[in-house]
Amino acid sequence: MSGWEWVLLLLVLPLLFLALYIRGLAARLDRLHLRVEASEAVLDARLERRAALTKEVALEVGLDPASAVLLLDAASAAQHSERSAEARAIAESDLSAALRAVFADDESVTDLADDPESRASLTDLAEVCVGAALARRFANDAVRAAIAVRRRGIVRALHLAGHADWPQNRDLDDAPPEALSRFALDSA
Amino acid sequence: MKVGIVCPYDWNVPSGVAIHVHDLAEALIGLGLEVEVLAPGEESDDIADYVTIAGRSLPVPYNGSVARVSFGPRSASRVRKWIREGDFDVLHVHSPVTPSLGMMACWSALGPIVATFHAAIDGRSRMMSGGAWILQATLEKVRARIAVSEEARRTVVEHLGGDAVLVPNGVDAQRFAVAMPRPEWSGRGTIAFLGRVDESRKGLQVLLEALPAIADAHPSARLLVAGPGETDAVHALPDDLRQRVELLGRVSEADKAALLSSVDLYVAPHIGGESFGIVLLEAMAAGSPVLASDLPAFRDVLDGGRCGALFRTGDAGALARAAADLLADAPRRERLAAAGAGRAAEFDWGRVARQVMAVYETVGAQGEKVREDDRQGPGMFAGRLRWRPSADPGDPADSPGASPPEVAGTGGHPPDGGSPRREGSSR
Repeated sequence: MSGWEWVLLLLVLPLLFLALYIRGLAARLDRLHLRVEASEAVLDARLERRAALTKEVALEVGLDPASAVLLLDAASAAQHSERSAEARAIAESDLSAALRAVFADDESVTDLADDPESRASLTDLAEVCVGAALARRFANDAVRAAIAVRRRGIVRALHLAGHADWPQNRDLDDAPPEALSRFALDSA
Repeated sequence: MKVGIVCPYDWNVPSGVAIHVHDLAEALIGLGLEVEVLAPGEESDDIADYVTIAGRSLPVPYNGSVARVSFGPRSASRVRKWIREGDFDVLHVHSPVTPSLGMMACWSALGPIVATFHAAIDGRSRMMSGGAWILQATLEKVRARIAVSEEARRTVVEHLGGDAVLVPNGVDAQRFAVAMPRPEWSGRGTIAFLGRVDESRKGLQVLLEALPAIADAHPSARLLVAGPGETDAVHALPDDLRQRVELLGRVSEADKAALLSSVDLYVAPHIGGESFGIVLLEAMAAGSPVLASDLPAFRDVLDGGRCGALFRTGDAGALARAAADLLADAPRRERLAAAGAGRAAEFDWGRVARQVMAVYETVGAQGEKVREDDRQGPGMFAGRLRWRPSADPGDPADSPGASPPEVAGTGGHPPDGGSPRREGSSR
């Protein structure tokens, strides 16, 4: 090879590697965005189902009227909250607190579960409460991973994220009612 | 639901993780799931149908112990084939930061991937070796992380970033609860030790050092030592103490259960390297009161001392005092045993497997299947460039177009950073 070809090669090779690197980074980011979207969709579906099941349980399992109204109010608020992330998080956290307050001790849960139909609804509710908490952990994990890549200088400089929204952590209190979870695990 | 589980360690050699994977697989099958397991090891007739052997394991020395792991291009292609043909709804990888099948499975797959972190040392210092970017890109594909203990979870948070949900190790509580005591292992003042006798982190030396003081307080005290290995420490004891120690060697699972249900006290004098403490739970399930060193993992299992007594790790004097007190106090032993049995029931495999299933259902909620990732090996250059419009869900990352260029010479070799680790296990 002549001298010129060497010079050309030395110029082109680094550029080629850079291009491949950027290409890989973009694909990785793309995948991370999909993971964020998918995990958030699961979380939203679980939260919606939680509110719906709470209403069902409130009306069906033979709760005292005060407990029933507490749950119905909290569940409706969660279903009809404004679409702003903040309002929604507050409503969902309130629902978590209401569920914990109503299903506070093992004894009351076991009593309610005497009837087989109630038992099934309570188990479903317990599962979706735990499921929502899991989904939120996994969604936030995806958000964190996506942000880690999006913070990189090269990603920002080259606008590799396109118009995708900046991923947002979902902060809300989703601690499940423990007595209910225990009941579901033991009775399954 | 069909689940593919990847075990990084040799299937034929009992290790904490391999036993965990086996028990989990059985429990999940019991719940009605379809399960396949991929593990290194030797083909043989007594391996269950659901297990695929990915090839032989290589012993890699680590931390005074040996981890039997599998890597290299042949294992990598078997991992790919297993994923391609498995048609799994969820891929469950154990110890993905150990350079073995788990890490390769993460590389080779896309879709709903769950990872379980077992040992406290999973990940520690790894992130500082040259393989950090490989780990990062591997872990990015994991949709859900499980830690088997608070200890393991802390490590994930501190060293890998992000969080993990806690789903504890399981124990076959029922099997231990129904074990029958044997007269030759019973009797006033009988203490049991379980674990390799020649591995100092199991702490036999601490217990032997405490033995004279225990014997002074309880003339009938004796010690049953069950576990493989050779040691001179016992033979070097003076005669009057030597007579109190009985070496049982390696015991079968049935004998272990019987032993734990026979003795007055089970002592776990481990001095470190434990991330869970499954033997403690087995002893508790068998109805034996437990006295353990106050390692964080043991403290968690014993619920801060409510379900078993604790002494300062490595302190033979403290161990002797605690053991002597317990042997003299039958009502307290009974209380601890009762609390321990209740605690062990919380860790029963049936219960634990249902929690794992809830994780599977969360990552698999959208019906996405596990599929092969068409990049070859650590192919960070082998992606496609695509500017995404803001809202474009539903379009899988694998759009048609340029096929990924293959990076030469990266046919699935493990990263060179760090050595494989023997995971903390009390087996």
